[in-house]
Amino acid sequence: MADVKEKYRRTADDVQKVITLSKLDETELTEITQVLQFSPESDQTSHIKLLELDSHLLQAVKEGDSLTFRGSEEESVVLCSRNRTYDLQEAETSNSLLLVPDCKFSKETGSSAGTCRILQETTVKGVFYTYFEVSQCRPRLNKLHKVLASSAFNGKECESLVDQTTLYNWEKLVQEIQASEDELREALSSYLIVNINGYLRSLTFEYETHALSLMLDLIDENSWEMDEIDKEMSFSLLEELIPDSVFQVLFHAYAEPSGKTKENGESLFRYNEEKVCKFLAKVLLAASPVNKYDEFMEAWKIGTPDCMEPKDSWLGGIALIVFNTRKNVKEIISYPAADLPDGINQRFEELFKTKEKWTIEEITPYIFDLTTTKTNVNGLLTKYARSSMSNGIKYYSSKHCK
Amino acid sequence: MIIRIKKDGEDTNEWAIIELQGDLESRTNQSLNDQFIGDLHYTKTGTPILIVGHHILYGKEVSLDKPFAVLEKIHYNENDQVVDKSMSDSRTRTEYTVRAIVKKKLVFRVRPKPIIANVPKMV
Repeated sequence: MADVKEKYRRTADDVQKVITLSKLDETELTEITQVLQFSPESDQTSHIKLLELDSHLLQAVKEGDSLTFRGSEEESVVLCSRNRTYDLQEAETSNSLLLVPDCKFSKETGSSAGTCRILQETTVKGVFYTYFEVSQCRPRLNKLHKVLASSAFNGKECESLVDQTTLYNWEKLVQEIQASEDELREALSSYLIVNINGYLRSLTFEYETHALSLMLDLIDENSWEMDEIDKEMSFSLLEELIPDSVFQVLFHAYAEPSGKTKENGESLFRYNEEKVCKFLAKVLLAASPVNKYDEFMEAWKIGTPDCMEPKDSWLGGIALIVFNTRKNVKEIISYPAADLPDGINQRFEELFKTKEKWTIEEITPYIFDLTTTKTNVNGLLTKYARSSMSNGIKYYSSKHCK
Repeated sequence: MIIRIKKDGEDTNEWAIIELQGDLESRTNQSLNDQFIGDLHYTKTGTPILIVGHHILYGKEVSLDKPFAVLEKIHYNENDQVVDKSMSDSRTRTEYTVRAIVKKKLVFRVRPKPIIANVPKMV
């Protein structure tokens, strides 16, 4: 410690003295001693973050597969790999985490203690008390409809009314949505988003109604069997009315191969009865949100193609069947899951305000989008609801009331 | 908005974390920058021993279940040159670079033991 102005340099002698003082047996120690010191910039670490990685993310980092943070200022940030989305949360620890770039672990510090101690200066880059935790979550796709609503496709004749600046192409959409690119790409078809001239467009409810009705009308017009829907013929009959890309997306959203084939080997299709009926129920509910049960079921039956039979269990997620005690009638009331709040607590509060007791079948469509890889519907109900038995049926109700 | 996380070069460095209970403070309240902390030894059986001031700590080498990526935030101007944080404005682009991966840490969980010595000259 001759020169106090100079930085303190530790010598092998210093180290040895401390070993003796500490009553350590030097022959039991490996030969390299690391002299820890703070780096000259150890207080400037705000630009450095520790991010916890699971095995998938670790692999992605190793392969140089670009990870991204996504979100606008008013959203909580998510971390995305090419095909997964993660929630990001800052975690605090009361311990101090010293980040050490060139730290040697025991195996690298030699075995036998030679005659002299080898000193190695090891620098601590900084001290951390927080790090970022990740947990895989569903891609946040709720925003899709909102973002694309103003440029939604409402038929060729309305195209001149669409403000060109509101159109989204893939590059622009990717910037807005908190989802990995693979997940977003997959979501497009299930959200009925169509590529029209390079722009991604959602369909207006009116247009979807119109186009699907045209498609379904062909069944009765051509007296097709339920499982013998001819895709090519449907398309050529509607070519003038529905653009190609819109037809492709709509057709595959509502129809699936039936297993039968045409003479030329091309496969025939069948419309998914539940999906079609559900959509037609939405159309009815849009016109009239509250209905007497019998009247609604009758109207629904008339509205669907002859070969389909609507079932009231398909109303889950779009309407509730309730008994109106004042009027003494069973009613069907529009109650779309898409209109409910996104927060778990608010969602349950809203659900139990609307209806006190739910069976698991009834509530599932309203909370399914809140499930994660770790928590399923049952897990959510255990945590946020109370169960009770009545006449052998299990009901779920609010945790806090009555 | 998308902020990319890039990889730094071909290989990723492996860094370590030393986890201490509590905090390191300087006795004279000066900044810790550039200061000496202590000696880190290993016994032949692999136990890390850290001597800070007149305290001795026995620790353990632990593999992290979930490793850490060490990310560094970097600002670029419109010509792709790295700029200081204070210079960043709406035209600068922010990116993170993976500087290293931390897979193992040394944890010193037990209470430090005092070293009793007759000679108070040291440290």
